[in-house]
Amino acid sequence: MKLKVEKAAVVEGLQKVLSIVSTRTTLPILSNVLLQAEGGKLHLTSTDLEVSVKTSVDASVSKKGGTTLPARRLASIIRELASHDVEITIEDKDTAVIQAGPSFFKLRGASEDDFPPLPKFEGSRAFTLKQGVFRDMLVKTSYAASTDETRYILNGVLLSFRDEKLTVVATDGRRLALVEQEVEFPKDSEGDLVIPTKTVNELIRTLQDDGSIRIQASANQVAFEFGDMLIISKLIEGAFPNFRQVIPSQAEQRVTIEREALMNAVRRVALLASEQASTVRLTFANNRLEITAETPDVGEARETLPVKFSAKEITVAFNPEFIVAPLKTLDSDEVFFEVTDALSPGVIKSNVPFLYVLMPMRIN
Amino acid sequence: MSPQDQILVFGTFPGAIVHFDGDAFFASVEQAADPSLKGRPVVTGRERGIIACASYEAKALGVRRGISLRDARKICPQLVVLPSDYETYSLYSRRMFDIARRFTPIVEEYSIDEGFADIGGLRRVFHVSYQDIAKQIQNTVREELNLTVSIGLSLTKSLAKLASDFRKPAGFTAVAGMHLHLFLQRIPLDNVWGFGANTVQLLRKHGLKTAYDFILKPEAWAQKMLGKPGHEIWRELRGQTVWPVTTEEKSSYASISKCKTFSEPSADRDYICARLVRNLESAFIKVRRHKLRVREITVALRKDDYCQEGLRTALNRPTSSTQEALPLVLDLFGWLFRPDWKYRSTMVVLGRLEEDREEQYDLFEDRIRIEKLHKASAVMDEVNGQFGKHRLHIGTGQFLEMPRPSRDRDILPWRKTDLLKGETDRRRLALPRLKITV
Repeated sequence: MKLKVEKAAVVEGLQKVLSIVSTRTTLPILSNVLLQAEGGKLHLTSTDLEVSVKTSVDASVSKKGGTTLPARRLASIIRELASHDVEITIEDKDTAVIQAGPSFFKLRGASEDDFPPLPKFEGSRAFTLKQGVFRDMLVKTSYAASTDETRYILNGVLLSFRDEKLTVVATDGRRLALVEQEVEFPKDSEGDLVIPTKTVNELIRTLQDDGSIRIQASANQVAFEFGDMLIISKLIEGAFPNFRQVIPSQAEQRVTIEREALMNAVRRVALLASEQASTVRLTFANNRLEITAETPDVGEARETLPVKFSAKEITVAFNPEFIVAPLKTLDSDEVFFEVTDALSPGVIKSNVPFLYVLMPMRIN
Repeated sequence: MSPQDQILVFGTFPGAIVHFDGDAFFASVEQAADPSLKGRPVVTGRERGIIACASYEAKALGVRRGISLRDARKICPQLVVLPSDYETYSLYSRRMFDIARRFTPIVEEYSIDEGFADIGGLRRVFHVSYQDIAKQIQNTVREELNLTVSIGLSLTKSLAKLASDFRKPAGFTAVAGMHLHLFLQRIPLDNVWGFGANTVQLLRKHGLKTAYDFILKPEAWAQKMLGKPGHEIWRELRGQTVWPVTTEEKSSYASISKCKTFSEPSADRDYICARLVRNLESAFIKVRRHKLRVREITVALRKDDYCQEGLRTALNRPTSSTQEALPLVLDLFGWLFRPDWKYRSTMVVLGRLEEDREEQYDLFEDRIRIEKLHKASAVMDEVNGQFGKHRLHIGTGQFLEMPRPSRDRDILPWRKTDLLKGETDRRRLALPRLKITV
């Protein structure tokens, strides 16, 4: 294999596949990136056996071939190179020679035959979406996914294609984020996919504003194709809980609040929430919302926001992180906060089809 | 200078830590409370069928902790076998620690029969050497409680513990900084506090035999070979304090465990399960008393041949309710239990404990059911608080009442049968009582 590539292009390409490469792995070959040169392209592939990412950059290939090289070391070498172009040559036994201007590196790799092949994929269901729209839906929901391994089905984001709509849902059991968008797809492609969080994060990192993405799904795998990228991932198998059932049908009170003001106030007050069980109290009273927190032996904080509210006073406690997380990803000026009482879930809505349910905390 | 002469710490006692260790504590307490037992081979643990503690007289005849009563009686027919009387042991224990606290406020109750006291800087109060202060503690315990303790005095907790082990019973060993290198050359690796069989094996492979060989290795080597714990031991053995004497009563627990050995190994599924559930009940009573909740449960069964199998599970919501945890524990038991084996003990470990304060509600949980289970546990605590521990218990407890082969189990310590006026089988005067007539 012998080729010449633009440094900036290959740095960008490596960046896209690098986050999949784990630093600690039982299978040493997984810390390598697969390089394949043919037909004016250099293909880069990485995998952790759950998720595989493949991308390509333009290259002038003078001799085609392939090898695998230690991914992080290769990336840090190329990042530091001073010249515009990089020349990569593979000598025998998978040793790469990297030359750029005055710099010369020799890097030992492993045979491409040892690299796990990309899963053979036959998707029975297919969907096409706009990249920007899809990324936005993932951004607005994925933070709510669980990291608790005992609830593995919640360790991902649900894509539910039904009734000419895509509903994206993530929950850790304590809060739930949902966005909906009308999408066209063949009727027989209807169904649910639960995408692992790692794959979702990779998508968020690499999806662009423009262009379309093609999603193909089989029973236990999913492939995302967009631009130069191909991401193939396992699906989380099992039944996602019935999320519709936990969305409160009607709340007692709906309050309109400035999004950024609420977010910043909660952030400030949370500075005095106790570390063990982080809690802020929201008291809705006569045309004001009072946010308070206290930690015994440390101190207390209070901040008041003007809101339109005239009903009987309601106090409810939440984890501040659960309030701030959705507000960070929304872009509307105002949000609607729905509350009923201290024991019932709160709901945050925005004028885009976004819905967020959060469970309160019991405070003694 | 040969390495044998290499002084580790110049000076005598830059820090002064005393480790005091009650000699054959349970048996000695029995002898102290009943002078007629002095000089006789006494063992405790009759109710378990296994020797819990053997007096030095019994040890001299070859009776050790952990052997079965049947074997012990074979070795020594004149053996005095007593049921354990933890109430009296803890009363004596408290007094032993109170005596140490007369000398210094910094006393750590490490276990029922051993503790640490930091006496650094006390010379100017008592106008005597550290050795003499430590001896005074030892003498006071002997005079007031009629108990002997072995004393170790040195620079750190690890060293003091090694020193008290050095001469027993009623031993006194003081190791000053400038003698450290000589002392450690006489300590085999297995004796070092914190080194288990695996660590010792590993160190032996590298040609080390004594604690001294270990501390001659570079600090980085200890860190690399044994990680943080080994590195800490390395520093402690060199006289650098890593573990201070902590006076706080244990209020924060990392885990709470309950393990009970059966009086007789059993293959009866119902009985073994009932024992396990009783462990679970006891552990959760403690959890609730300390206002904690549990995120992880481990269940283990120990077989007749002392092999043990266990399973651990993480809870997806923390709980303080026995009833909420019960189905899970029964599941784990079902996985572990093998009908063709005899078991000798069951164990429950409640782990990843946290304070039971704020509670995050969950979207998908059955709130009403959870509230009911918690109510049930609270009501049981209330009833049992009034009528006695485990009076009201989970139904499996009925299997505990079945006739048992051993009669040793049913024998109570004399303190529980020979009651003073006004005492009941649950409430007695919190004072050590001597079994003498005047």
